[in-house]
This record gives sequence, C-alpha cells and structure tokens, in this order.
Amino acid sequence: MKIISRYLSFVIPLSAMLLSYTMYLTLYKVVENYKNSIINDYAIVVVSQETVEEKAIDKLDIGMRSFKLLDKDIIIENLKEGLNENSVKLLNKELPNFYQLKLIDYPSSKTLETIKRKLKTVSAIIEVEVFAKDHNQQYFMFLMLYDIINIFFFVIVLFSFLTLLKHIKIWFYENENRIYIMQLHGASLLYCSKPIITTALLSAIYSSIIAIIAIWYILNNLSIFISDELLNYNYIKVEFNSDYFSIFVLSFLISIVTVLMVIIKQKYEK
Amino acid sequence: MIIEAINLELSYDKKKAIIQNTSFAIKKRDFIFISGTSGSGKSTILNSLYGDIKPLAGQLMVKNIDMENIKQSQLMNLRKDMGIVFQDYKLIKEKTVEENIMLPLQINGYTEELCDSQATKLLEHVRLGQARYAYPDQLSGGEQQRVSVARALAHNPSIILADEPTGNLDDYSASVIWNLLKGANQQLDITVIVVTHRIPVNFNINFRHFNIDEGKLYENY
Repeated sequence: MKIISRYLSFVIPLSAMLLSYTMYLTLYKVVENYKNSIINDYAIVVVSQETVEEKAIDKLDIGMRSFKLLDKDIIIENLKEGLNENSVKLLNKELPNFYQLKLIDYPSSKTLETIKRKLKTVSAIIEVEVFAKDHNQQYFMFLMLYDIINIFFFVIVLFSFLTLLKHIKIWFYENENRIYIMQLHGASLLYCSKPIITTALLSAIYSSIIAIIAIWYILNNLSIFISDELLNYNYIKVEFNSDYFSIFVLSFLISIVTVLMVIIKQKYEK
Repeated sequence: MIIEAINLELSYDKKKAIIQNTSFAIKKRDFIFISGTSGSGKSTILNSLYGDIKPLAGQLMVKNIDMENIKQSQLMNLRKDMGIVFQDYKLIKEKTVEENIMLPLQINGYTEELCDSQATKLLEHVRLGQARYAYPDQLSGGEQQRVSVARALAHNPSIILADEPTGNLDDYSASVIWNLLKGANQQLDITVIVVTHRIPVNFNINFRHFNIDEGKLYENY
C-alpha cells in the first residue's frame, strides 16, 4: 500500500504535467497550422512604374514565396465603372505595375517593417502596401495565444515540479533512520536513494504511457472534445509522431532532475 | 597500529572538549573495553572512530587515515571495513532479519549468491535460522542484538565497534553476545572495541581495558 501511494505521488503530478505539455503542443501546432493557412491569403502589394524582376526581390532576402505581376485588365475592370472610354484608355496607359508578393512565413510586425524598408530600396518601386493594420491585429492575437499557452505550461510544470520535490523530501524524511544506518555501513547517499530513484524512473515511464494513451484517445475521438464547426477546419487536425519521444524525455528529465536536486541538497545539508 | 590517537581532543559543539589530551594505540586483533561513568565520553570516542565527529585537536589515525582531514569517499570506504553494534541495535525495521544481515554485503558489492550464502552461515552462527524472514519488531531484544552482531560480522571487517552492546539485555542474552564478539576476535582476527559500563566477569580471553576519568583515557593494567 505504501509503495502504491509512493508511485501515485509521482505518477499523478507527472501525468498532469505531461498532459499539460501535450495541450501546449496541441495549441502550439493549431496556432502554427492557422498561421500557415492564413499566410496563403496574406500578400504585400508592390507598386512600380517599371518592370521589377523576381530576382531583384529574391536578393533582398525577405523570405519571398512568390512574386507575381497582377493583371492590369482585371484591375481596370474593377475601376472602370463610371469612367468614359478615354479615361479608361488613359488609365490603362498611366496605371503602374502592381505586384503581389507572398511570403514563406507569417511575419512579425517588426519583420514586416524591415521587409517594407528593404523593398523601398529597389529604385523602381514607388509604393509598398503591407496592410499593416489587419496584419498587426492578427499578429497580436497570435502573440497573446502563445503567451497564454506558455504561461499555462509554465504554471503546470512549476506546480508538478514543486509537488514532486515535496514528495521526495517527505520520502527522505521518512527514511532518515534507514539512510543513517546504511551510511554507518559505508553506503553513499546515492546508494541509499536507490528506491526513490527507481520510483522516479518507473513513474516517468508510467506517466509517459498514460499521457500517450490520452493523446491517442483524444486524437481518435476529436468529435467528443471539439465542436463540429471547428472540426471542419484543417488546422485543427494535428499530428504527434515525433512528439511522443519528447514526452518520454520530458518525463524522465523532470523526475530525475527533481530527485537529484533533493539528493544534492541533502548531501550538502549534512 | 590499526588505530592511533595522539593528544586527541573531542567535542560535540567544538567548544568544550569532552575528551582531552588523550593518547592511545590499538593493534590489530586487540580486544578493547572502554568504560567510564555516564556522560564521561565513552561513546564520543567510538563516534570519532567511525567518523561521526572529527577531532577538535590532536591526531586520530584509523587504518592510517587521518580522521580530521578524511574525505567523504574515504570515510565511506573505511566504514565498509567496519562493523558497528549499538545498544539500540539500529536495525532497519522495514527489512527482514536476512535483509538486515545482507546490508553491509550489498553495500560492499557482493553478488546475490554470496550475500545469500553468507547470510545463511551467519544466521546459523547466531542461531537465528528460524527467524530469517522475520522483521526486527517480531524479535526479542537479545535476538535483535544477535542480528546486529551478525550484520557487523557479515562482510568480515577489520574492526568491530560496539556501543553498550549488552546494555538492554538480560544476563543470558548478554553472554551470547559476548561469546559472539570473542569468537570474532579470536577466530576471525577482528579488532573489537567495546564501550561498556559493565565489563563481563569470567571473560576468558586477553583484553585491554581503558577507563575514562575526567576526560582522559587511562589504560588499566
């Protein structure tokens, strides 16, 4: 019974931490997927009197995905309403070139400013429109989401870590006499701590298994956890392939680091 | 010399010395009794021999190791070559009799088979074969002390330190313990140092007797 409660005191905080880690990963991936999906719809418009070569933009190293000249006829088609034939002809003659510039990654507001500045160094370019207001609103939302996810993850890790730390300290307190007797016979503190180290390692394995089963269940039963409306969006669907390994690593790291910290503290206290 | 003290001073609080300016030397295979009144510092001397307290002044050498400047790893190795018996037995109550006896063997890195065979031998030696899987709480005081002696003998140490080993025992149990310690000294050539306020009568082997008086150790001839 004592052994079971010792294992539970490790497995519960570790599992809570790993589940919060998977939530952190899931939200992070959803946000990344969402960023990738909206980057397809986001474009900078570059205006020039002369032709601008794609190579010239590529040289600027701004993370360009595509650079395309917009069809003048389509632009004029949108503008010609209410204009007479002469005005349309004049417009056709005077209208500068409009280019659509798409980026590989969704840029930060600062990056966007840098891109705008770099584009303006090309002499042929007379105007750059980055649609900063719309962009900044969306980027602020991402930043806020990231911050909330990070704070949430940090708080859970901190609480799990403190809970583990407390349980390990209690174990040392409970086993004070046993450790003293073993040390009288020449055992090192590390040797005396074998049971708690074994508990930490096995609990790390059990907690990882619990977390992985939970992820597997959630991913295969998304409709239980997410509304049908959201399920229609592709960015909601995330994959965890290589992250299972990181769950194992995190679990082992936290449990071993916590135990070693207490052992080192005990050593220097004596 | 297996143990040598020169002008040794010992204290628990690093202020007032309980043992003052004491010199003594102990050879291999000596059987030593240290006696004195309560609070005279008998146990303090024993504690200094297994490194629980460091000398306040003077020099204490145990197996050629200076106990004042001993490193933690050296102390662990020194203790691995010692057997310690206490008045309150200091058995691990969560472990069986067999596991308690195996403890120094496991710490010394013996294989499981060796631990097992040595435990069997010692349990027979201290006549506790039937209590192999019992827990200390299920044994009488005399039996617990026999387990404690068996544990001290398990890894065939060079030195056995015993602090009032018969202090809580009846006369019969005490005589069993004295016989076990005598056997360790005579048959296994182990140096035995016993702190006691009551030296057994008819102790029919050669032994040396030290007495503590006013913080100094004197040998009685």
